[in-house]
Amino acid sequence: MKKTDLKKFAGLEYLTIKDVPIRSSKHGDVIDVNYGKLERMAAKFILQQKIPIRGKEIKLLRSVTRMSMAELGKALGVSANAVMHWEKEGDKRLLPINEMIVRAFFCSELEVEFPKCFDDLKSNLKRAKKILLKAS
Amino acid sequence: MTTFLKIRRDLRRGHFKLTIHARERMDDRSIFEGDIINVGLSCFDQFYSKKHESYNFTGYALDERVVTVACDYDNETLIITMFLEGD
Repeated sequence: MKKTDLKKFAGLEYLTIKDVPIRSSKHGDVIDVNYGKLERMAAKFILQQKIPIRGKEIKLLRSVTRMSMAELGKALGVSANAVMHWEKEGDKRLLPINEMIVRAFFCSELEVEFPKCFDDLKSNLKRAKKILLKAS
Repeated sequence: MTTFLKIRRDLRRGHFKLTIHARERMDDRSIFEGDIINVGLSCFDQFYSKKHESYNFTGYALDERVVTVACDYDNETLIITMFLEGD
């Protein structure tokens, strides 16, 4: 079985997914993984490993849960414009209180244990350092 | 069932896979697989491209961007070969 690495997966510059199975087709190499599996794996990893949440991470998390900006805004008690603003500022880390709310919501949606305390959100990291995930 | 209807059904159900090229373009433009499903749900235009041998569907991503998805069957599996932003 052929395998490849997907770099900057989901537009996240620090994230590489290794050993992704691929197969040939008349349209080129096809990622031989069912819908959503890799994105969901990346989303859960971001939540479990307490990766700093920026607009780029929110986009992925929102897509994995199939929510529009309006639906996410409603769920979080903010306007759709607020969500749009977060996502537009793709590289900017959320304010700690907003990050906590976003993280708590998506941990619930994706059935991931919520990090235990605020200490995890106090890091000065603007974004995650390099991460390698394995597809299989 | 026509091929167009069959593809739209498979898109809505998430029964598709991506070429590496399509995945890379999606990653560049922050388009995700949930957006592809939404194109299947919201599709307002469709056509067959002889040049690229693909069925093309235009609809909305989850953030309401207009997206065109090109796809084709390969051994009964729907493959997303390309996407474009805009129509």
